[in-house]
Amino acid sequence: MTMPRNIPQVDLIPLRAAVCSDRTTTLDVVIRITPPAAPKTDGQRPSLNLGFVIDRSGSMASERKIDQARDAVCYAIDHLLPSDRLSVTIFDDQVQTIISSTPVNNKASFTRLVQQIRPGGRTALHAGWVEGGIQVSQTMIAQLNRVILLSDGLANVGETNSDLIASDVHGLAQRGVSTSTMGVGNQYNEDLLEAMARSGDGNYYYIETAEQLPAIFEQELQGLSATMGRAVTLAINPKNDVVVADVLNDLDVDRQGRFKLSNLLAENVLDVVVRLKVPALSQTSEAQETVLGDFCLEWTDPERQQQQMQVSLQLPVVTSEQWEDFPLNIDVQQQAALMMSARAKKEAVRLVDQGDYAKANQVLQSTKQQMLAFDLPMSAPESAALDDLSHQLEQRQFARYRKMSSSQSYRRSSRRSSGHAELFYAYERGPRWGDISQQEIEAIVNSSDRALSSDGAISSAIHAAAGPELLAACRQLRDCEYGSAKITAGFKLSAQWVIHTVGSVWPQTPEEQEIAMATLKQCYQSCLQVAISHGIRAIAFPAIGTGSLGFPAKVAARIAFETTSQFLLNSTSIGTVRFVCFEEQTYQYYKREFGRVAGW
Amino acid sequence: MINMSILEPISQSKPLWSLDELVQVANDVLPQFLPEEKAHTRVREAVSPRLIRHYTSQGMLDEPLKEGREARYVYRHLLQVLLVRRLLTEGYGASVIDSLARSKPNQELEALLQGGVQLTVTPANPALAFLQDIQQRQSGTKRSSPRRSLSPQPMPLPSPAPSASSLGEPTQWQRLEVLPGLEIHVRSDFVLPTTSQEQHSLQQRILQLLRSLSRPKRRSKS
Repeated sequence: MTMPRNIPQVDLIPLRAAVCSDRTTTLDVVIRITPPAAPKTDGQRPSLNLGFVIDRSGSMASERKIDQARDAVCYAIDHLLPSDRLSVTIFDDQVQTIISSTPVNNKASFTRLVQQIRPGGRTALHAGWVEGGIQVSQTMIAQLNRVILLSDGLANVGETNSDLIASDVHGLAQRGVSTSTMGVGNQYNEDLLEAMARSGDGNYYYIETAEQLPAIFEQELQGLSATMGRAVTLAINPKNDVVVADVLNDLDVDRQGRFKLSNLLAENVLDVVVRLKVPALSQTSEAQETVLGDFCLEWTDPERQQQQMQVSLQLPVVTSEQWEDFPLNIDVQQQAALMMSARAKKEAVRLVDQGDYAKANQVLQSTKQQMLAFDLPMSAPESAALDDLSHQLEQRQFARYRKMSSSQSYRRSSRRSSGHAELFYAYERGPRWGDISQQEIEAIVNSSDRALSSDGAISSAIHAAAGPELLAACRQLRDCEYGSAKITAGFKLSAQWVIHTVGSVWPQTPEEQEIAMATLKQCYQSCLQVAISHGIRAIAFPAIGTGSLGFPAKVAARIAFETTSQFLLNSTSIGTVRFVCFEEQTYQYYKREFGRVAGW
Repeated sequence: MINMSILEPISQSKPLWSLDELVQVANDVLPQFLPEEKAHTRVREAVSPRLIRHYTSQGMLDEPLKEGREARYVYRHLLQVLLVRRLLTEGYGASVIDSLARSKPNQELEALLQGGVQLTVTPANPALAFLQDIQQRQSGTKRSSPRRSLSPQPMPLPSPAPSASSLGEPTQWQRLEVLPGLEIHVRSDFVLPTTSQEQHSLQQRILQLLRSLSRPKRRSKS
């Protein structure tokens, strides 16, 4: 028996760290699964065996969908290693394999073949998937075997029964080949594609506009490369008459009653929220804790070994009077609220399907009010998401509404269960073109120099608006290192806080540029850390680096969004990150970069 | 060189083993017949007297012979034990294996274990077999069986390699150059055998064929 080298960490976080001796306690518990960091070098990632299955039915011709799909597949080919395998299958009424399963040894000729794909007839989705699966199954020596199916339409040729298709996908997943699905536009069947991904141990993506396709492929490939566990399940075994009243995530259950989780990806945290009903238990001393239940996580690692780990939830039993004094864990409260919101979205979809639009809208509105009343960091972005859904519904944009809604519920329950599930709303629907000093938000960031002076375009604007007290406060802080951040009050600004950070100048040589980029990344990380330690939930950044520091706007924008999104995808302690660009050209770059990460 | 199967000398010695002896012989040769990766990583794949009795009671092996009160086992029992272990390791359920090993004559058991000579047996690839099943369902009589049993356990047994034409698929071949002047053509549904014994047999077979080619050539030259 080999010992697992990399095992995830499992934390049990209760809403309150105790249960009652004199009455039943309803207790929400977050089971937080943190997979370990990925191995450093590229060569150590699991080997991949991918089968791309691309819809080229007639409808793919519209809105350049087929062009974007081609580019996305070429992007993927470009990022595979010679040790990986790939195949490309296209389908309309007919299924055709244009690249049969092969090692990725001739990228140029594969790319040429893909570029020749042209749109054709109707949609034989199931047959296309089967052929893609056969391609992948022929050589199962890779550590991860996956079919990636992209479609924009309804399965209307061959097998079209959703249940049957999903159970075929499930059967193949049990034999080692998983399936991810991507739906493009607003005409496809989201229930089918989501069901396929769920039963296929893969991911489902709703891709509203074809421009997002390359970014989604990038995301899927990154996820595959970072996979540390598949066929992941969680078993919950309550003890001492404790009852599992509810599991707030929307998860499928297997035959053994275990909850099926999404794949374990390096550093991608998964949260499962469980609601326990704990009967009055006999009181214990502080040191002595009572076991409420065991949680057993099982997964298959890249070496195809079955792994498992078990943690048990133990809490002290106190009187209900003492219990009231235990603080509420805000993180747990927030995760439970987000799961309930995801559930409400699903409920609203059900009502819409029944034709009860008024009631559906009511559900969305009341969930939004609740979310705002909780007054949590995620209140703002989540209520904005609910607002948009409600708006779609009022506009009777049913196809779009239904896809947005179900994809949000799906993401919150699975791969994006911890952290922000929708970066679109974390960034307030996109960057702004304006003046950072005029922002009405809890905290703004100042791009300053080491002396924290009022020189420089951004700094002078902020100092002018804040008044002389700000400079005095900065002098007291003395100075600030490159890549660090320090905080002051906002004085006459609308913002309550100013976080000052120091980037370095864009240098000449590539080596020095690498260092400058790393420093800029640190600036964003330091600002976010300072914000968290001051309980700040909403923060606005200027386009750090783009002014006199001389960074190319494209580079600055990429670092800004990649660094902040990495943080937001794993944390909900900051609800809102706003980008404010002063120059119009810079703003255009930031908008483009936002478009890339918004769908992650 | 002659194909020195490790089974051949055992077969020729016409053994009559006690249970413990059978267990020892089986464990000695077993790693040769298990898929590579599993043969090395799992020590506990060894058989024990208790397991053999269990398989017998399940009807997976022939009843032992009797010598007075003692149970006695022969070469055929060994073949059955090896095949059952191999199928179990590959993930086949006991219910599927059932009396398979008892129903086959010795030669067929040997062939199943060694792959080798005829290579009629496609080593198990459950994923591929599953998808080919689906294809056949789709192309077969419409709606006659709208719902298959979805039970994940029983997997299809190794079956003769389906001919590509029966699937209505264009046959795809890959050409591998081994040496200047020697190419191997591989059909897309060919799966490399996983056990060292089968791979050995495959090597032998290829050498044999190459020799049969070169002999007449030499003659014609001389």
